[in-house]
Amino acid sequence: MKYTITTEGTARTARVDGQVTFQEQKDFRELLNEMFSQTATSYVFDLSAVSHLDSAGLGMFLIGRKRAQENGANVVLRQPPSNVRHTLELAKFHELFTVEG
Amino acid sequence: MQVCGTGTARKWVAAAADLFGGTACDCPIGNGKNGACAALDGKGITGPVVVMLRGCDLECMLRRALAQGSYICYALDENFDIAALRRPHPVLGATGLIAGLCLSARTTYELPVASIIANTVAQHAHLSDVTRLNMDIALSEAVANALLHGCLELDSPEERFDPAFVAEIESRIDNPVYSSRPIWVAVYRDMNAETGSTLRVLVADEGAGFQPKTHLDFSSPECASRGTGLIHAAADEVTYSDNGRCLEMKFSL
Repeated sequence: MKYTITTEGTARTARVDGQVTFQEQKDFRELLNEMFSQTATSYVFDLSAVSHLDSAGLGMFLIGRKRAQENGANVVLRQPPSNVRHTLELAKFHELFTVEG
Repeated sequence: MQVCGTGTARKWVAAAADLFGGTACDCPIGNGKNGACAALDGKGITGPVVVMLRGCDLECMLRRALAQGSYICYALDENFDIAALRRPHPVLGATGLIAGLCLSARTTYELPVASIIANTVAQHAHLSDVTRLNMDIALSEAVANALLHGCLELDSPEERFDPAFVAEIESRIDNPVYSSRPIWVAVYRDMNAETGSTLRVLVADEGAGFQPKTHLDFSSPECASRGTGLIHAAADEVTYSDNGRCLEMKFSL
């Protein structure tokens, strides 16, 4: 898994590339630390380049959601590919996150 | 039944032929250019085949062998004692078998097993996009559970992202005591005149087993057993047996 983080206005966006599974927990932990090292009103995960998402990956986004809530910010999951979107829907994540695109 | 082997896995062919009551194939498998060989491409092969795989580009060899249909592929660690398998695992039957796999924990950790199986099944059975996605998701979770909890004997961490948990995964993957343990995956297509065709996917390990939880609210996004929840959400039917070591998932076609 690779990622790049950019800031635009009050939003921080992490573009995630590759699979987000239990094998990437270490990398994703670093992503979250970097993502939340700066305050923002919105934290966006650009998922358009994510190839696979499993239950451990879902758990990682829940941690991100918790950290955003502690900052009074919201989390957006943007442009998930169809397979990733299907996983999000099975896990009912649309009830917890804003899913765009 | 013919039993073939590639690379250093050839040393297991005779023992596997004994286990399966098959015939050891003496074809020059694995000696061809770029690993090309007759059995991997189904040439000159009739009837069921067991393929013992080792060597570089294991993923490519697995995909090619499974593409033939009804192949049973073993991809084990170098130091694995084939005699320890004693017999083919009961999840590997004959009728309706689309793909059969026996992988070491290490190989399972290194390969995209669910993706390989999903692609194989899509080549041999017509799957809707949704069914294929559901099978990929459920199989991915089932294989991860068999690996982490069955072979590596790890409990889920109370705190997600626990760095010690991640480090322990890597430590046990490097430990042959854990990493050479087998995981079995088998996919069948069952035909039934009344209920129609069903895809039956079995995942088994030889770990300590567990008592599947039945009182969790799998529909809750905050559910702690999210992987199991996804399996239940994705599959039409989920059944555990052998004290939790064997998971059977059904998908309507």
